[in-house]
Amino acid sequence: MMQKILWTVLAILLSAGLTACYDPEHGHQTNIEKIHATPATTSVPLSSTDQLPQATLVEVASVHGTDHFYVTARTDKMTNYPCARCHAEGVLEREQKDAHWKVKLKHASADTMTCATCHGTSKRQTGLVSLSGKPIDFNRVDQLCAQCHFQQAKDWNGGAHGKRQGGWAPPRVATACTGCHDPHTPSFPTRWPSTFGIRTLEREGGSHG
Amino acid sequence: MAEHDKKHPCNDSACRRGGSGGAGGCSGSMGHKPMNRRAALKSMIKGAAVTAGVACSHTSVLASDKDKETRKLEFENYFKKNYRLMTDEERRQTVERLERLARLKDGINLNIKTTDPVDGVLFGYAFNIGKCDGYMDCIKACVEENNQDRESRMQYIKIFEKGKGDMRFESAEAGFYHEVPAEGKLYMGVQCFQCENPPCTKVCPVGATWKEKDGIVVVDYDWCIGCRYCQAACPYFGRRFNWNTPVVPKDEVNTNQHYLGNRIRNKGSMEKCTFCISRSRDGKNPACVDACPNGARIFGNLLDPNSEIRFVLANKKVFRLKEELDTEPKFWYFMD
Repeated sequence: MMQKILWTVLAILLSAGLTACYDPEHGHQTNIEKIHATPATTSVPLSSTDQLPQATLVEVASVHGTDHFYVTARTDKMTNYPCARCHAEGVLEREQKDAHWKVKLKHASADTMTCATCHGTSKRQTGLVSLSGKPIDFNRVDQLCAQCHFQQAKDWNGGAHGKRQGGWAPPRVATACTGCHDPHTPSFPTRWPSTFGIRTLEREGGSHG
Repeated sequence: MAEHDKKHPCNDSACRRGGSGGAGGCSGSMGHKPMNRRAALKSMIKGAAVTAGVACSHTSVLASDKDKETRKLEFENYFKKNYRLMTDEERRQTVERLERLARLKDGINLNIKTTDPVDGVLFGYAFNIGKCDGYMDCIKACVEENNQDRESRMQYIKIFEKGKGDMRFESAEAGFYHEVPAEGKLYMGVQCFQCENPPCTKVCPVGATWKEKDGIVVVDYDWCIGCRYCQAACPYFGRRFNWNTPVVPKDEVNTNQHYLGNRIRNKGSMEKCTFCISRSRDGKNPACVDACPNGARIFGNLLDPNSEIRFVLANKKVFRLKEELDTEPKFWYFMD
């Protein structure tokens, strides 16, 4: 009698277990499948420009076909701009003491780059120049940096490189290259972390996690 | 009496007699109290006394108005529904009650939101291992944004330091504290991955955790009973438990809160990363994404074909942790 009951119970559990694994409604849909099965969202009732009321936006063509994104303008915030302010009339009196000779250039080797590589040699320069001498606006430094750093530029254009301003909602406002990288000494120095994980405390006999 | 004997395991003679009532030898051992007139009366009187006490505190001439109101609000708060079952009006009342309680008890002015998910949005996250340098700015920003307990140093994010050529987590170090990035090391962060097929929500015995329409897995902190089953079910250690009452210094409290997000939790409640639900539902990036100086963190709407996260998924060689478990995390890793 007992054996019969045990076998019945086992049979029920086994059949329940085998049938429970298969979920006919959801199956095992991956996220990628789900994304492509869902209609694309082209707009949301949120905007990144709400977070950036003070910024002037400069349009940049995107790799996403006809889409474009923005960077925030720099020229309205630069103090020594345009260059012609000083360099057209000669270098005489200036309000500020940040002279250009204080700039240390540690970017590629001296064989590859000098100041003129990006800034050109003409004293009347109002911006930057490309390697072939074409003028580049200070608000579009990405065109200058992309000449050598084309892989990063491609990533930056798509959004895999760099930081975003104003949140995730469209329109996309990206940080320009110089927003993170000092163009004269672009490499980031080592530094101490902002905080430490709880594992450090645990090791040293602190509070248990 | 015979029936009682058959069911009762301890068979203690005093217990069988029922004479000693609830204070007898066996009452606590299996959680089974021998029910007889004396024991029933005892528990009823106890219950009546508690109710009378509560009623008295409302009408007492000695308790201040502030105390009375606090206790009234706490009483109402205790009997509120699961967030999913509340109407919009009830939700509004709930957060107003919580804001008022914070004002009375701690003197803090909070703004607790109940923002609903935005239509057409499914949040996704990408982490660039090539860019992370172990600064932990993300952890600092997360702790401040989410009002995490300072006493137990709760952190949703963990940054692992791994030796180049060895990606195992077993040999990784999460407790590093030296100048970063260190020679020969790479850094990788983990947090709740907001799975699309989350194991944690399936095991909750009370329905205190669920996945919202925009993909964020949330916890109703007051509904949670603290059994930690979800913590056991999560393969990624995404969940945290409050062993003590969370302590946040008053001047560090982030007063912009969401009911399902960064409002201050209670002792015994589970919590986890919510992709900063109070920020992301307002169009902002989570605190960790904005804090990273290297741009190693990418966040956005998976259903927007022009978003950065979609670009990463389409153009970078991405992977996720423990993919074979079919949890479908919405947090991808890549290197460039």
